[in-house]
Amino acid sequence: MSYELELKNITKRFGSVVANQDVNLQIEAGEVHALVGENGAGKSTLMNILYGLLQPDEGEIFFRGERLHLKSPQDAIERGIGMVHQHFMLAPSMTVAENIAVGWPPRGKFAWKNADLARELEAFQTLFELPVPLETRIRDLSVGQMQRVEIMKSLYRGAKIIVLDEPTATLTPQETDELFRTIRRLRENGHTIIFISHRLREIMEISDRITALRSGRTVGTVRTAEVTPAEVARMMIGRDVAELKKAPLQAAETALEVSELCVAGDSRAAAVDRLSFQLRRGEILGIAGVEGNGQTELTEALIGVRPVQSGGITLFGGDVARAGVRQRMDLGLAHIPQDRMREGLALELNIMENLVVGTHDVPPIGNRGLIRWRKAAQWSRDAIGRFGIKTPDEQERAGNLSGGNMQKIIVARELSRSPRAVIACQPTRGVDIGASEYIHQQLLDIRAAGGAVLLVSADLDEILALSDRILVLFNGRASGVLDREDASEALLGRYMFGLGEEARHEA
Amino acid sequence: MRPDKRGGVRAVLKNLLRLLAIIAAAFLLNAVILLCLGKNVGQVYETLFTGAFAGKWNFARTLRWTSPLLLTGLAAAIGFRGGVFNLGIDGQLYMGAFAAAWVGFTFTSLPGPLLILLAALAAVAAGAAWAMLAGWIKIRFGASEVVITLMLNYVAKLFTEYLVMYPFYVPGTASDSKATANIAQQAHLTPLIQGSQVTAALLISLAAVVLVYLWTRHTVSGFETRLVGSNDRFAQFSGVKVKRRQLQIMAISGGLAGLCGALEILGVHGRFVVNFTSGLGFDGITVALLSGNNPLAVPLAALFMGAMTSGSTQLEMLGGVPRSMASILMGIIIMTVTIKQLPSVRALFRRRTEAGRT
Repeated sequence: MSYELELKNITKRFGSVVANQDVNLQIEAGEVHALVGENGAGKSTLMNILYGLLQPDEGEIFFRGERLHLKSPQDAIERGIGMVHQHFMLAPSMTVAENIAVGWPPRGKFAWKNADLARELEAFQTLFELPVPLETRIRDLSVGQMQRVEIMKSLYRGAKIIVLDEPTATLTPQETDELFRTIRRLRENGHTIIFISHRLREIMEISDRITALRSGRTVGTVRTAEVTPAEVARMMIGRDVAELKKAPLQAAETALEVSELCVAGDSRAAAVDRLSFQLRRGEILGIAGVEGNGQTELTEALIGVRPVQSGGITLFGGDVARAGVRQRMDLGLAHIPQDRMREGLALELNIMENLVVGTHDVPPIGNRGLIRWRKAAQWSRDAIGRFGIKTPDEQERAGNLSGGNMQKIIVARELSRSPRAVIACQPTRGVDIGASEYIHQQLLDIRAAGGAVLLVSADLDEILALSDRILVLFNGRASGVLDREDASEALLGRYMFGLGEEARHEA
Repeated sequence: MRPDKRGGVRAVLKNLLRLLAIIAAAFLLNAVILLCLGKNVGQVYETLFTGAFAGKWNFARTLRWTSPLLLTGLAAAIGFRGGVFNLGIDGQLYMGAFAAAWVGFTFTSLPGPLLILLAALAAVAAGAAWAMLAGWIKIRFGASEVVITLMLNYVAKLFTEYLVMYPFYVPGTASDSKATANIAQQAHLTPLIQGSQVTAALLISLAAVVLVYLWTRHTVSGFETRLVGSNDRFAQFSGVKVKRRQLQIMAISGGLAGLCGALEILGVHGRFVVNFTSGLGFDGITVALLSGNNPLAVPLAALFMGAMTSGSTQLEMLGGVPRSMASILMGIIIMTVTIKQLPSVRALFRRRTEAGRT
């Protein structure tokens, strides 16, 4: 049979690195096709070839049986291939409508026809369930809404095939559900979706077929209905997923105590509202909740970059509510930030420089105001090896790495300091299965060694897999605190929407 | 001593290539303009070149201008590196120059080396203080340092003029000389080329370049400054005192500008003259742009700017081409430097796509 889209024997090299080697991908019309693989498996390269951003060294692309020569994204768009990048390409100060029309003005002959544009976009909105206010500026939108704008942009440009590059990595569970509804509507209307993701659950839920890449080669294509999640995982990482080794709970004395804590958010008064909890050494406390319920403000107050309005924070017996970031770090606090690009890395600096931040001014690396780069390089190479960061060397610019590798730099930096307490925010967001597994095991090892871990995550699977106790945040307060044994996804879900006590009674 | 091969020597080589490409493009564009004006392009460029490099005196004039541009270029580059935009180099330079002149004509009984050292220190302090004022306003009130530093230029120029005309007015001089008393003879810097204005200032400036380079690469505070310049939020999240670093980088930038002022007074003018120089600060920003904010590339960029300044003097004297021709050329170069964003945006795209395969 002939395929809607076929990539045949694609090979792409970057210098001595082979990113794609004889990759084959066949997409049927009107299907949701998941493209899976670890970070660095060659998915992005392949999709960039399809989108005309890169030209393959060898191989051919066929669209409805016709051979395509894509020299630029413009060519791809004209052929009806659209792409929604993981990092959105939108102008924050412009409105939704302007962003969609930019470079592709409404088809009036002379003037910019706003009315026509609005009519066309509103048609997409109803048909594909993409509610976004058209006259709002991009900077005022949520991540989920921005993604809808990107999808609309592709549709407006006539896309028949839409590539979604890790679309759920930064979405809340609710937004993910909404995205899936849109994807189904697109499929019903004859669009073809290529869906890139690391999350097995989502892949199983939304895709019709799955193609896995590993180390730049095609592993195979399967029908989703005919495989189990474990089989897909094996295709991706080439082995079975290891069971997490979780030692029995040996909680000791309190490491972190938060009492009656109030913290203001950027736009609202009580983002964290009289919150109290204790985190003991040797335990993992999961903070669950829909994003935007005070998690960000709480962690920022805990690490010391956001002022505390009232209430106390005690770290290993010392009052740190007014202490600086560094003071808390010196007490043994480490932090894996939720937004790795903005809060966890200096992208222009190299890997080594990113790895030593925080230890750069103390022996062995810091020495009376000077930095001993030779020691730093040694230490970095060691960390790169231990944490399996894929890079030519420690001098590589951090911004050149893939998302998963960036996260590994942060984890390596924070956990190599032998912290006594770790605040981990969305530690595996956008990170592939292999790396996730590794990061999870690291957190469990900290716990086994008597460290305390506060795990803030929107991913309930992650929370349930690691936590000893779970606190659900709702509107800045604890709507529930439960032991792991008592928690279930359904119960947590109800707490997440503030259905506190009644949920417990029903359970 | 190779802390970072990509940030150090290799980056300089890359910058050098980029620099040459930019300059070549600018000269080409400028040639079109000259052709439109009916000038002989070859002749103009030849005069420009010989005016900058041919013969001892022309080359001395090039070095004379390279020397202050080293410092203002460094001052601008280091500010950009730390993420603060110091557009107030001119003002800081004036404050430093006046402080140096004051030391030079006040403590006339001190021996030369001591007097020079004292004058330089006073100038660094004055320039740094003036820059920190802007830094403080930024940090305390959240004002944009771009506007503040720019406006403080006018304040500094007029304030030093006031000092010259009133508190330090020298009776008996014609008021249109608008200058302070002369500095002590022993405070003059040693000429490197006898009879020219090339003095030890050039060596001091080069030393400053090396020191600043070593500072950014090898010290904790220099590293933290680059960290703040690269991502201040990350720096804050990692326990770096961001505001303190920003104030510090302002002070260093202003101090270098002040030192430049001192060397101009001690090396060239011998007293503080109202409006004794114009545009050194902004030419410094061009130098910084050309150098890609890399201290090690600053000398080359400064030499180029110095040669342009020197060559254009010759152009005016001999070539019958107005000096503004050189200004136009500089303008085109600045535009070309900023346009370099085009290819680098492309590179960014490429990087993003490559990121997936690493």
